[in-house]
Amino acid sequence: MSQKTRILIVVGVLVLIAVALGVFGTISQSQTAQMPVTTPQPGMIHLYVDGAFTANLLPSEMQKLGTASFVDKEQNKTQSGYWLKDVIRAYVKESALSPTSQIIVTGVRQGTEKKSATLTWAEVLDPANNVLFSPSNDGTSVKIAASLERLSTRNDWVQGLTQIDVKTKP
Amino acid sequence: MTTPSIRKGYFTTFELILLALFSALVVVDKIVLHLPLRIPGHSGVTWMAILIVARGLVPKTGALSLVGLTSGLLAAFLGLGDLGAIYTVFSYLASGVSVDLIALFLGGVESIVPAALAGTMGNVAKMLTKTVMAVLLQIPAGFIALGLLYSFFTNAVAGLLGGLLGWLILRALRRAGFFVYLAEKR
Repeated sequence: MSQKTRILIVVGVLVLIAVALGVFGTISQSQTAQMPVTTPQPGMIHLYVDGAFTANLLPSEMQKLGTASFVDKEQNKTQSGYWLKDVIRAYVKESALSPTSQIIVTGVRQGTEKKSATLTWAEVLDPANNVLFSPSNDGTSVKIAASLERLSTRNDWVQGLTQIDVKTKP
Repeated sequence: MTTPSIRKGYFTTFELILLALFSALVVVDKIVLHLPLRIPGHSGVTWMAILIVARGLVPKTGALSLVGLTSGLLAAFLGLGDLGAIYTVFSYLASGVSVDLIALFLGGVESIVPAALAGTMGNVAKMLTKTVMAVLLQIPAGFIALGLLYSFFTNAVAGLLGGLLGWLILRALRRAGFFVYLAEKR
């Protein structure tokens, strides 16, 4: 087999991967559009308010929000995404929330290990805390990053976000 | 009386030391070099360059798989990556193995096109592994699906640039006589 043929085969494999991802993306997009909004759907981040399922967080909804970023204290890296307060406001009326309302964020780490953190609405609102809903650089997951003391390191952050619970009256 | 024969390994000690240094360099690159870009896979520019240089200096199949595995284990122990050790080890390993396979298929990375393609495939393999792992670990993939093609293109371009950078470094090392020096060391 000539070198030219080998190079063409590798390029062909790359094109095939691109086509497969394009088809997968289109199918996922149409499935997301047809998704019932009243039940939690697999593969989406679920929002519950006072124990009742409220919404599957949609990427299209997130894109309407203003982007935000902060530099983390641990590694001086810029974390970007959307403020968690804006994400919650997109689905929950702010009048239903008080400063003591609890926001419980749950994620998954290494497949089975669940991890969660509880914040008050006042903490989420405080600009000094930088509570961020942050899609990872490669877009393969979402993490909750922040700079308040008990949630300021990678070990404290909630990666692989799966669920947000809002308790309006704790 | 027979003298005991010394069993020769696939890699020489010198090559193993070189590969260990490159593994450490991959991890250092991830920790120290922060490009101010919000483009998926942009770290592949320097990462793939390191892998291509490693493959050029130790032109043996399996060399980069070893670098991928070692750097993945090092990164996991240092807590790099957002989703835990397994995720980190597999994504680093995937890069090494795929650059290894492409280099084997294309007969090395001495020419510009194979080096660029190996870099491209290495970075794309890392992205695909992360995506598959996210699906397997049941991490919500709704956010992934819409941006997969975009992520593929940015990873491919970053990997391509990394491959080219690696090839340029290898060429500079060759011109500086580093390969002659290495041959004497071996």
